[in-house]
Amino acid sequence: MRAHPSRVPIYLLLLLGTVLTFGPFYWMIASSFKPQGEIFTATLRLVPSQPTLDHYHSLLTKTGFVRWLLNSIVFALGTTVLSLFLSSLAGFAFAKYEFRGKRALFAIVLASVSIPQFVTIIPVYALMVRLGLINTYWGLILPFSVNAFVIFLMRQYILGIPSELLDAARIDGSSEFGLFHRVIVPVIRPAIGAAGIFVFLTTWNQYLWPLILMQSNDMMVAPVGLATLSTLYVIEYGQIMAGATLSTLPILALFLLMQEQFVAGLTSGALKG
Amino acid sequence: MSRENGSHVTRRQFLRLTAALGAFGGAQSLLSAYGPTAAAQQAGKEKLSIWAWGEAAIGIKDSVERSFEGKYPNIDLELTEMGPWDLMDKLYASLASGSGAPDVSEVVRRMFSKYGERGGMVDLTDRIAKYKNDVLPTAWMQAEFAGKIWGGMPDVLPGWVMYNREVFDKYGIKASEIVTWDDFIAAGKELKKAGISILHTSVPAGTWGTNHWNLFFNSRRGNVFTPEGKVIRNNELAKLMFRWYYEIQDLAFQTPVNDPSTWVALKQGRLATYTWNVPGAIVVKKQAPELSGKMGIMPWPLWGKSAPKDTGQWGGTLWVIPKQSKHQEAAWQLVEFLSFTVEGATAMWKGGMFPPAYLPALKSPSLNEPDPYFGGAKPFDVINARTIPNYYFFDWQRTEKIIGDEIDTMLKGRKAPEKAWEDAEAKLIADLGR
Amino acid sequence: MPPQPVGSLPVNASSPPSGPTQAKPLAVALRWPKRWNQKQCAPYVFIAPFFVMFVVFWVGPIVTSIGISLTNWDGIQAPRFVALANYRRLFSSPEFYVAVQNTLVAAVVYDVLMVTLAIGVAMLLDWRHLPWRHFFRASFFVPVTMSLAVVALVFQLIYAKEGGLLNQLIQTVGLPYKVDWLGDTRIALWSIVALRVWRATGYYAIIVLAGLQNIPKELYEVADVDGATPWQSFYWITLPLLKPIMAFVVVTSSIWALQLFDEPWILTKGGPINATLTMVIHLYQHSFQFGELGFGAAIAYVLTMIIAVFSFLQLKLFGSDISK
Repeated sequence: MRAHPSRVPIYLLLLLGTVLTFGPFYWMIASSFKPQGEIFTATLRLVPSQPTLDHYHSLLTKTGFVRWLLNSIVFALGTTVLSLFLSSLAGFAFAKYEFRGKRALFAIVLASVSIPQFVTIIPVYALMVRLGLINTYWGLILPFSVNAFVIFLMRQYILGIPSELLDAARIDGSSEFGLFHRVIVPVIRPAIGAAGIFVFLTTWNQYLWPLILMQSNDMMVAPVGLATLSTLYVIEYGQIMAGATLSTLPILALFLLMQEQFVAGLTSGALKG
Repeated sequence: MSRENGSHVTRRQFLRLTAALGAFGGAQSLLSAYGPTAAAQQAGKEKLSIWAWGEAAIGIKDSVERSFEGKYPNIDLELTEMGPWDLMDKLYASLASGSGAPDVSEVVRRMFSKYGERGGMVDLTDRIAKYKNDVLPTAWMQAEFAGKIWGGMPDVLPGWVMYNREVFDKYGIKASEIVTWDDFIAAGKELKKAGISILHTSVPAGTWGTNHWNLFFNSRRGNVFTPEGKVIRNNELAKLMFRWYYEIQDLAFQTPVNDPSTWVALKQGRLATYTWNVPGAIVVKKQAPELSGKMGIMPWPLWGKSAPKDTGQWGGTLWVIPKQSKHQEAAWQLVEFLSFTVEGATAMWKGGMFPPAYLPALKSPSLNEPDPYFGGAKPFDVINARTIPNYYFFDWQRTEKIIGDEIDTMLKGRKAPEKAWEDAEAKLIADLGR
Repeated sequence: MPPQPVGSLPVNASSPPSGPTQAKPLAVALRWPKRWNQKQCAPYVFIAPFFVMFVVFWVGPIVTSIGISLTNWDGIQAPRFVALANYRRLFSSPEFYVAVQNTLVAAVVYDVLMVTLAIGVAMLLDWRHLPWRHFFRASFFVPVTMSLAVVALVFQLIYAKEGGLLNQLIQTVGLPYKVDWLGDTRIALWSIVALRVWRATGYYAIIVLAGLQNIPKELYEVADVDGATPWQSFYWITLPLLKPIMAFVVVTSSIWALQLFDEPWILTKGGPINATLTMVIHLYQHSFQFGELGFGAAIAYVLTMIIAVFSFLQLKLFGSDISK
């Protein structure tokens, strides 16, 4: 893009980068197929000598992994749907309406982006106790659906929608909510896609909150469940790697399929910020 | 498009959304309903949830479930297994939140004061009182708090030495001649010349290291706290044992906690003994099955030729019943079964090699079977050859971190052992306020 | 105004909405025919669901948290007011300072390293002659698809002293060293920082890439014609125009970095000897393991202040105004 740099160093860098990036990922997959004794050997073994499905088998039958994965999916999907709904509605209001208190309210929302979530852990935990939501899906989904960042994204995007579109719809007799669901939502689909992926990834990633809010084995989410395999008296590394592989592949597949939307959505939010 | 049509459609959309959310909620309750809970309730049985870890969980899965459900056919056991620390955290959280606690839970006995001080469990004093003379005093004493008994104490976990007979024979070491720790160290020096370690230690030590060190400290009749819970000041024995632990590292195979390298070394004969607590044997058997028949067991060495025949302890469980339990009667039956019956003790011994604290079981000849893994030696003979001095645990979760950090500092050569203990003592006094 | 349906007017239909806290039931609003009323009410109705949740799960807890930090609550027994005792204890605890130091140092090093790499990777990906662009872009993003906890578990296999991938590689190359990646107090923290850098670089690289692609190519062509070297172009064109993106990247990644918990907790539990003790681990240990929720809340507050100051300073550094 500038004065032509020589190609060889660039190819080397790319190669190095790819090796570094894929290395751990490959190691995870390879280890999950290695027989127990081979996972920690003194000498390097890049490829399993006798690939085995044992770890997958014992992971799926002896641990609660299937349930954990399911919990992760319910948690991530539920949070995504709820937060998209709440935030797009509110983002619409902030973008296309004038009302008293708008500036103050938006400032509060913005300020909360920089407040880390762990500040609220203890009181939210106590609140969940009182509401009886400990160890339930709602107990995990509700706090996470309050995502100020997504409101921000939505507002930015909706600001770019010409107001004439809305006025035309009003003249046609649409109610305000109808404006939202018939005019706005179809237009902001890319933003919804990107924000949705963002929220999904963030909640898929969660460890500390599910650790605290979920108590029984069968309500754990995948990362928490897998980590418990690492604290048992005898650490089952093979199982852990199998579980790691299984919980990563869906996200990877999702990303590969939705690459364009994701990148577009991510960057639009950042750019306009 | 008329406005009426518009709002009509919108209302329908709203209803659709509500329906979707409702379906979602329904799916969620379906999910929580599916599982052993629902199955058991459908079968008309009383479901008892029990939390346990490691060896206890193995014991429960392998035999307790069958024996107990055989004895009480209308009760269905549901075991949740998790690591001990996760379990302790979750138990605390559930006691605090008033919900989510199981009917019976395993508690790390040395951590018990954290719960004893805060309540939340069923007082079992009256029910257990009749067993007082049938239980080892050390175990009994650790279940007591503020004059009440809060749980069933099924076991004691004394220290012993599992050694590799082939390695010993090869280097002319006779297990019967290792009577004192000095003998042990002498043998260790011989082995070291051949590049073999006589024991292993966890480095980084952390909280694990404190408990390993404690095996030695306890066996020498040391204590960090007085029975009332005050930190013992100017603890000369502790300083001595810190130094001893520091110096024995020269003979030790240092490896991180639970690291596979330990098994590799054991199997390859580079590690000659597994000097640990009794249930450690279960882990050894699982990780090194090829050593079956080649290992032996011997009692904890003494601190002097005419020293008391003591050993230390590491671990010990308590079966508690959280007050939230809706099946307290059935829960008590399970606790009683696990702690005060020979059947329960047999199940826990066979599954997890937990030596019973229940005397009828401990002295029972039927349980004292030869163990083929150890070449036909009888574990109970070795266990009964030693007694455990009383040890007082207070605020152990914080204590073990404080002591563990000092052990690490000392092992990394940053402090003299005596200074490390002095600092530990000072921090204990400051942080715990005892 | 079009005719209104009979009988559907609520009693107080004529009074205008009073304030932002007036959340009217959605169904009522939908049936409301008077458009000027509806248009005025609508925004409040729309933000209501979010704000209700926001107050319940954010504002309320944040305020309650202050309250809890002034007590000695242990979660089970009733709390007792102790005023600033927790804070005093915090500021005189050597562990607290270790945690603060670890957290800050790790965050700064991570930021510098990650941002530099992200810019580098983005520039690589932006290269006009890059073959298989989509493949490379996807491959750098792969680490992000692994959750933090999973990454930690995988790196346990990589960092293990005996038989871990890194030490295996070192052996293969012929060096007789066994580095104790997680057990050596001097490098444990850096091992964890490296882990985070590995994971985050791709994510931020893509964001920077978008910023790079927004810079008009003509600028570079003009600079070329004027005889500028690649470095000069980079310094005078690329960097300044990337500023807003960089502000975003740096601030958000720092906020995230200062909350470091998952990896050190899984890999080292804050050890050895507190070498990887971060503030959130400190908070967790005291709140949920030692049962000192009041003390934990105090830690949370101090960390929040630190994050706020940090973000403020960074924004000043970039001179950009995120809140438009």
